[in-house]
Amino acid sequence: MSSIKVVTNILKVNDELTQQNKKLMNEKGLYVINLMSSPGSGKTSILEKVIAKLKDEVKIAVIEGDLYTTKDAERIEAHGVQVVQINTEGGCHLDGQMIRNALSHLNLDGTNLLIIENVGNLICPASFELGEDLIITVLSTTEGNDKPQKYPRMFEKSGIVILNKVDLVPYTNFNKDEFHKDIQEINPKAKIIETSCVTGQGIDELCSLLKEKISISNPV
Amino acid sequence: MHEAAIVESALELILAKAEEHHLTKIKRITAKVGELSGALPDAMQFVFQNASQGTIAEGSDFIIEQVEATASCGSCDITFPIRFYHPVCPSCGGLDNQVLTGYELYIDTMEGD
Repeated sequence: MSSIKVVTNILKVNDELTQQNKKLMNEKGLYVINLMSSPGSGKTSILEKVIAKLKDEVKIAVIEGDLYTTKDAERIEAHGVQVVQINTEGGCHLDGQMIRNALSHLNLDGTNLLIIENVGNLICPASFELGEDLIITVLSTTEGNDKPQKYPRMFEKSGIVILNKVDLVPYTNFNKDEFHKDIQEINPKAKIIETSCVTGQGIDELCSLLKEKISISNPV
Repeated sequence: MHEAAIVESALELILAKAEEHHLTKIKRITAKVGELSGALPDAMQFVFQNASQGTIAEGSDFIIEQVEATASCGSCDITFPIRFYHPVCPSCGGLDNQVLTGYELYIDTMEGD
């Protein structure tokens, strides 16, 4: 009987692929966002608003993760930016191999911003790094303010937490004070932005912040 | 159920190590899984029993050792357990703390012939 000391990270394969992807992303001068949330929180709607506002100033490409459909990719494509659809066929998250495949289908020359819209799921995507510079997690007011406490990992890793559908707060029992307190405890460094895709609230603030981050990452 | 992807990666790693060390049968594997790693031991165990079938790891003991989440406070110079992702110092209530353990997700040892 042999006893072997292994001490190797289980996600080594994903980490290695992610490092290779990261190298390519850096060579192309991309600022990369991993956009995560539960289904129906409004990720794609926010993305549409951001693209409409930024696309004349920033060259954007999008990787759309979804289980089966191309519905979200079609919505993004309608805004005239490059988009690649990844269908995970039941898989609950995107991983390094999927991103590698998607990158090979994008022409990234001159692109400044790559947004990866992850599969709608508050749990699994948080465990797989994709080589991103920034994680943005979206929570919508109709989901309840207990979600950061119930699914802390994703919020803990986020640079920006978006609270979406704030126009609906009067019709819900969402407690914004508790939400802000919970995020502060889980991740005191996270920037919280309140948005509504109906009224447009918060979209300008989000776009300004993103432009600032892109320019710091890749100064002209 | 991302434990499926995690365990498949683990199995790939285990089988490669076994080949490297010329093992023909794996009998025991120990994994360290931190409380904050986002992987559930029961789900990992379930997936492993299925995924290892037909491999030299089939029937092996897959032991998952959970690692407690701890952090240290820069102001108070104390180490404390983290309650559910909230690294709040129990002494001063401060949030500016360094997480020490809890994110582990690795294969520690394996035994076989």
